[in-house]
Amino acid sequence: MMTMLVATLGLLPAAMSHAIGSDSQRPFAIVIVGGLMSDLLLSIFLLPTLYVWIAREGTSSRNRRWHLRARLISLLTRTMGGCALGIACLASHAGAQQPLTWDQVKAKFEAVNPVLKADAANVEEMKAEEITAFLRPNPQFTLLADGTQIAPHNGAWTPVKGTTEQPNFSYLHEREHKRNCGWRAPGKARRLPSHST
Amino acid sequence: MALLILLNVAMARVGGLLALYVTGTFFSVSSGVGFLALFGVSVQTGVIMLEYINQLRARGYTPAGAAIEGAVLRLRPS
Repeated sequence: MMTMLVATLGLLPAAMSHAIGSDSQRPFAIVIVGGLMSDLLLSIFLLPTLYVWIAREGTSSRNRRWHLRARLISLLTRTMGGCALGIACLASHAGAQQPLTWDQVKAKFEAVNPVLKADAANVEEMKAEEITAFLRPNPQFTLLADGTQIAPHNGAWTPVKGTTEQPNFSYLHEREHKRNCGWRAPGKARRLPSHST
Repeated sequence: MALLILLNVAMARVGGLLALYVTGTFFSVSSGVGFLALFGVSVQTGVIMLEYINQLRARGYTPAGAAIEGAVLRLRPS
C-alpha cells in the first residue's frame, strides 16, 4: 500500500499538468495513477477473498480444487475478454471521433465564425459594386468659387467683384481598360507581372 | 497462485482503461508504456501479498485468518 501510494502521489502532478510538453507524459501518468488506485482497492479486498476461496476448496478435496481452478480460469478469461471489449469500444469511439474531412472542418469553422461571414458578404458587395459601377454612368460636375468678399471692408462691400468661378466636368472611363479582371472574358484579364528578370 | 496474480494484473488494466476513458485521453504509445509500468507494479504487489499470506499459513494460520492478517498488514503496515 505504501509503495502504491508513493507511486500514485508522485505521478499525480504529471497527470494533472497542462504545461508545454506535458502531452507526452500525461497519458503515461494517468494510466499509472488510475490503475494503481483501482488496483490498490482490488488487491487489498478482492485478492485475499479469492485466496480464501481457493485455499478452502484446496484443503477439502483435490477434485473440487481443480474444478474451482477451471472456474477461476474462466473468470479470468471473461475479465480479459471484457477488457478487450473495452479496448475495442475505446478504439471505435476514438475512430468515430477523430477523422474529420476537410469539408467538415471548413463547415464547422464557418458556422462558428461570424467575422468570416461578414467578410464574405463584404466581398460580394464589392464585386457587385464593381460590376454596376462599370455599367453606371458616372459624370462629375464641380463648381469652384474663390475670392468672394464675405464681409464689408472700410464701408465698401462688393461681394462678387473679385470672385473667380471654375466649373469642371469629369467622367471616369479609364476603368474600362484597367478594372476588367474578374468579370470579363478571361483572355482580356490583366496580366500578372512576371518574375523572370 | 499465479492465476491470482494475473487477475490482479487484469484489475489494474481495468483501472488504467477507466482512467484513460474518464480523462478523455486516447490510447497512445506513452499510455502503453504506462500500462507496462502498471502491470509491473500490480504483479509486484500481488506477489508480496500472496507470499506473506503463504508465510502466515506456514506458521499455522487458517486460510481465512492468514488472508485477513496479510491484507490488514498491507493496508496498515505496523
